Amino acid sequence: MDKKEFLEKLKKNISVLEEREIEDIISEYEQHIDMRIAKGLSEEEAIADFGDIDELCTQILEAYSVDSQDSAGNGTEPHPADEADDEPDYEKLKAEGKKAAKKAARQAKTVAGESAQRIGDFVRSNFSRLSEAVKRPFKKKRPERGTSDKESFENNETGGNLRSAGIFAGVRNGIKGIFRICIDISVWCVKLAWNFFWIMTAFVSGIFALFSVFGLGLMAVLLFQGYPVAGIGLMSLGGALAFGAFTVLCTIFMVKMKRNRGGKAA
Amino acid sequence: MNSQFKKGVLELIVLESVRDRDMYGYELVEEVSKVIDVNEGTIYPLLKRLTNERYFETYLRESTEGPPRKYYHITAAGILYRDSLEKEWNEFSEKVSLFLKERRDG
Repeated sequence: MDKKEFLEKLKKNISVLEEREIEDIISEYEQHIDMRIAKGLSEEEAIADFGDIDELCTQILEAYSVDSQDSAGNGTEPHPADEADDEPDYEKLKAEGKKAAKKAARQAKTVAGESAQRIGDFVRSNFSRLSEAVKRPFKKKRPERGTSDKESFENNETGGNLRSAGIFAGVRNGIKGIFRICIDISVWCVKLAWNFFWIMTAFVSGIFALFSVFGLGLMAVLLFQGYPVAGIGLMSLGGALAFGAFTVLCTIFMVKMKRNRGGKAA
Repeated sequence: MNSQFKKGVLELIVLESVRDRDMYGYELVEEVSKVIDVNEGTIYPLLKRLTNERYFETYLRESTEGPPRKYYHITAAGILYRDSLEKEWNEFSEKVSLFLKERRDG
């Protein structure tokens, strides 16, 4: 019997199984024979190692819990492999159920873990953004102020050098330097105030939003206890949404402002 | 060796072989053949049955020569099953050898 014959006979004998399974089995046996041949055996020898083909097919079908006697009679009727397992084998069913439950639990755990991590990442990234926004006025302005200080110092020096040419020029330069520092400081203060204003606005409206949510919860409880607080509850809901939205708006505005400035600086 | 003996421990040997490293069918047959002289044809149905009972998971991986190979990977349930088989086997073989020893000495 050569390889082709063997595989065809095998295919015929296990034709009760699903198409996919048959292909799977055939390919596996084919690979085995090919590797045997590659090792130096002849086709006949490789196939002879499988023993009696009918016995082999019986074993394969047994593995699928299909009765080979039954399947030999009506080979055309497709018997899905799992159907044969449907006998009331309660132990097995119980085990399967447990396994499925465990699997589901495992999946749920991974999903929960992932989402928790995602939320964590989100909060962390936003928090760092916010904290940057808070730090911004102090961080960003410092180097600028440093350079302007240096500049004015240089101006003063040049003013000193020019003293022989005329005190006027020196004084003028000195005044210019001081004036520039004043402008810088005032600009910085204005920027600080501006940032501070937005941060405070966001902060206050955030607090209001939290209070509204708290009120909403309170009203919901009271409502369930029968108090006529539907109106106030709705108002709390509206407040929570409005203040929440405003907080988000302010935050986005600040972040955008920072981005724009960063773009200009670069 | 008695074929009935082989049949019983074949599962244990197959599960043990795959425990450390995923293997494809032919590799596994060779591994098992080192331990016991077994009809190669019987191992594939066994692998199928163990897979159907969720003791194995299978996946395909490309090979440098020929078509992709189907690899067998032992599951947690498979490891538990292997342990229980090993325990059974040890108890069984101990009992049998104790019995034989008693007969010989007595």
